[in-house]
Amino acid sequence: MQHYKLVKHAPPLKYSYNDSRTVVHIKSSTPFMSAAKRILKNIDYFDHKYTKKGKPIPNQNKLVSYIVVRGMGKAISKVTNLALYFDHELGYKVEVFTKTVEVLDELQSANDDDVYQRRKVSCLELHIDLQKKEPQSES
Amino acid sequence: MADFNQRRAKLYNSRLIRAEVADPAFTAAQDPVTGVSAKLDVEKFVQSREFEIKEFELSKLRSRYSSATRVFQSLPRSLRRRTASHNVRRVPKRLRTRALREMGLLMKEPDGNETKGVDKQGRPSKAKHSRGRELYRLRRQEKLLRYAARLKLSGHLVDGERVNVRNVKMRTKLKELRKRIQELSQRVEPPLNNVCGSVDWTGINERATIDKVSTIRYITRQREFKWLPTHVWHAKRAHMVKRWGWNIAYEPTMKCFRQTSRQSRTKGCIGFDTSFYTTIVLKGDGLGEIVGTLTDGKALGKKYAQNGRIWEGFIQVDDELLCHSMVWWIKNGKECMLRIHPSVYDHVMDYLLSKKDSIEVQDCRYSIGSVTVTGPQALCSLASIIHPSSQTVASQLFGQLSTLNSSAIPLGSAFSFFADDPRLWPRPTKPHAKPSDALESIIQVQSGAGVEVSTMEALFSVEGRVASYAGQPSLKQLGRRRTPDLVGRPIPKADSDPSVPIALVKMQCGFVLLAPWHWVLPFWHQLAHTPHFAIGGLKQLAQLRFEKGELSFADCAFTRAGFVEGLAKAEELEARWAKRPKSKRVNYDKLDEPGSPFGCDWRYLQLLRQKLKQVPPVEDYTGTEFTITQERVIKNKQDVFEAIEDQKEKDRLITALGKPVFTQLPIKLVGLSEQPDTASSQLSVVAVKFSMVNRGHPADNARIYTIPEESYLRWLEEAGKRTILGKTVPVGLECPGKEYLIGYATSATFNLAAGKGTGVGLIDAEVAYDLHAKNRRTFVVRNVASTACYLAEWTLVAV
Repeated sequence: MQHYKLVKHAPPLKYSYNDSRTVVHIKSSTPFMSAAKRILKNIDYFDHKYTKKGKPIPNQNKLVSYIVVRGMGKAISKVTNLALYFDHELGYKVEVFTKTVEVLDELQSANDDDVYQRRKVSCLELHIDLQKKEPQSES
Repeated sequence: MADFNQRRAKLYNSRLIRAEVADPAFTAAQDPVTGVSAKLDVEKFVQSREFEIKEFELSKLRSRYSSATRVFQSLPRSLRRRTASHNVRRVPKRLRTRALREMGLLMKEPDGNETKGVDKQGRPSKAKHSRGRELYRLRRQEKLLRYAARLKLSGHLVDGERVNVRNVKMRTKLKELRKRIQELSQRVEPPLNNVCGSVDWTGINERATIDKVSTIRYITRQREFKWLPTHVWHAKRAHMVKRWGWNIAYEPTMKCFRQTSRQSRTKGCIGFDTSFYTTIVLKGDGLGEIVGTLTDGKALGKKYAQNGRIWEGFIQVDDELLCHSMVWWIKNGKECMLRIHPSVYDHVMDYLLSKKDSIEVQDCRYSIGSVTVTGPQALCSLASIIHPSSQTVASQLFGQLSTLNSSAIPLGSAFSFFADDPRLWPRPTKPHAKPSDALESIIQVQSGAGVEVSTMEALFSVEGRVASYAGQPSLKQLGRRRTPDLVGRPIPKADSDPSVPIALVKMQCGFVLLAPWHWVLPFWHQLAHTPHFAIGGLKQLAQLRFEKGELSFADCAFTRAGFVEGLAKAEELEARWAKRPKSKRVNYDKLDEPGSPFGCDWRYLQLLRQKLKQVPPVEDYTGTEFTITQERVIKNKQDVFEAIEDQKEKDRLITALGKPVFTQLPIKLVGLSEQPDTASSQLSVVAVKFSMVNRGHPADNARIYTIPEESYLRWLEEAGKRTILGKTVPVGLECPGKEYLIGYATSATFNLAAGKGTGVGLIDAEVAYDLHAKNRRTFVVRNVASTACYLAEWTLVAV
């Protein structure tokens, strides 16, 4: 009987420098409020800025209309809570998408060749709009 | 122009003190309705004066600040230059006019310039004497002339043999000279195959030396401490240290604690010139046995020796752990590459050269260089400067994976292929990968498809490296080939342009690019131009390991090199402490620190843990006793501390006699799998990482205590306390006594990755085993010279 050590690898993400402003990844160990604050900071970054005299500073990121929040597996419940928080408590428009991400598992052996397995993990993606929802008229 | 006027106006306004011209207190004229004549309105009068006083104060501030800032101060931090800030050419073009005006240079004054050392146009004025290369040339000339004159006077021949000039006839003199010239002209030297002066300095079955250099100018500075390929680049941007026979960047000149942490985790990348790591190529039939001894048989498995996977771990000689290193088999059990830390170079080389009957040792420490790049963008940055020479399976796989976040590539992934001269491209070029199944490519790379055998053979052989230097163009030659119609495009590759064998390996410290020594600099220059790139030195390498909760070089106090490093650091701290006036330094004598307060005192810990075991269950305080050999009999706990002092005094005497105190180190690293061996004279320790449970900001050399049995529950209770808002509260418990000391934190500080204080250290294995058995995961940490101590949660670090 061979003894294997399971090593889970990160999903194969593409790197883009701009993603650091628009995409927030949530781990199961990310504290809820720290995630919420990071998202709010990113939203704030794309907000209109004004000079001291009140002139608007031209926004170079006009194409960005939402912040992406992603979490896989165990972190899905945390992402769901974030969706509820931003939608109901803060009044942002939130779209929710489900996804499947393929990840690589490595079964490491001391001497023999390692075994690689693909595994599919469910993933939740939020699109949080930069603009808040219009306050609904009470009827 | 309007802008200029606006700014002038601003400056004018800043000097102006506003006063209320139309004073409402006086202007109330005769009331037309009531006919009451004007009188002083006291309230309005007071308001007006208040306004004026405020304005006066404000104007003082305004005029101070309006002239206090200079334009170069508004640049991003990395572009700011404090030195030579009078030189407008150091300021970006768009800000030059403003910078000139700030220096008063555009104002047409009779003598023109106001700033020292600058002419009217803001250029540095002509130097009064030669500088730089010119100065060097003149000095050299002077020296040579002096030398020649002295030779002429004393009658030396060129090679130094002393001759009495009076006894030598002219004919003999000429004969001797002709003979010498003939000798020199017939000396066979391997011909250079390039104009750059790139030579391969491999030592075959001997230590490598730099015996022939193209730039003689710098050789005197490298007599003891050699330069890395990127030395000149780094020396301008970083503080350098002389260690292990190298001149190495210690830390960048610009503060970068936060930047390093961010670039390594969230965006961008950090580059290190790690050419100081020694690469040794081993060949021969007896290789299996030798590599087996070095790696304790671990690197001999089928997946390493036959299938070419990379082994990373601690190597050992004579059962003594040496350093974290890497073994990579090049040819199926016949040839392998060993990469070690320079601090153990002599030790390993001695061992390997003693076995040279059965293997061939190629010392490539001056012939294979490396660059380490870490951070999420590392692979993208490397891919934008590495251009494969031909389309092969390996280079295609590299291209497919090149857009991925570096964390997605598993450890031990390796690429190796021939690449073009990176200087052909005017700037780093972002890779465009075709969409493909990334996981499939990763699996292929892990099974060895990313490695080309021919490249590996070229990179790890003298002939291959020499061939890569053939026709290496100089920057001047490349500049001539870069015609105006090629702006923004690469120079077409000529037939004479060489291909460079390179290897790219994902290791624990990041991506390591291995290249022939004289190709490292071209790659580095291009890499430094990639966006979001930062540099790091030895300190940053240690910081990255610390943030991950791993042991850096200096944390490995169980290795001889790491132990010496700790002693050196402690000595330096002590010297700095001793330099301060007595009233300004901490009085450590009164604090009664366990062990030296300047470092981790492993000798103290070893003696303490071993002598505490000798304390009898019923302590006896009747008086001190000595054995015949003048050893203190341990009858109570106090005797333990006295005995430690005795032993340390003995150590001091031995050191004073010039003998080494330690034939073996006081500590030895073990695992937690079985109960440690207590009979050994070395203290068994385990490596742990810890993070603070509640509050606390641990620092380097912090002391680690186990919690006394009686106060264990109180500690847990206190540490768990929170205010009603969820804030932590200070623990009001006293620090355990010296007898509870179990280890030291080798590095500890606030960890930006964890958001709280964390550290790594070594603790007594016996206590760790005991705690582990009881499932207790906490101990107490106290900083040096502090009475506050905090609860920390520990986990084992696998070494």
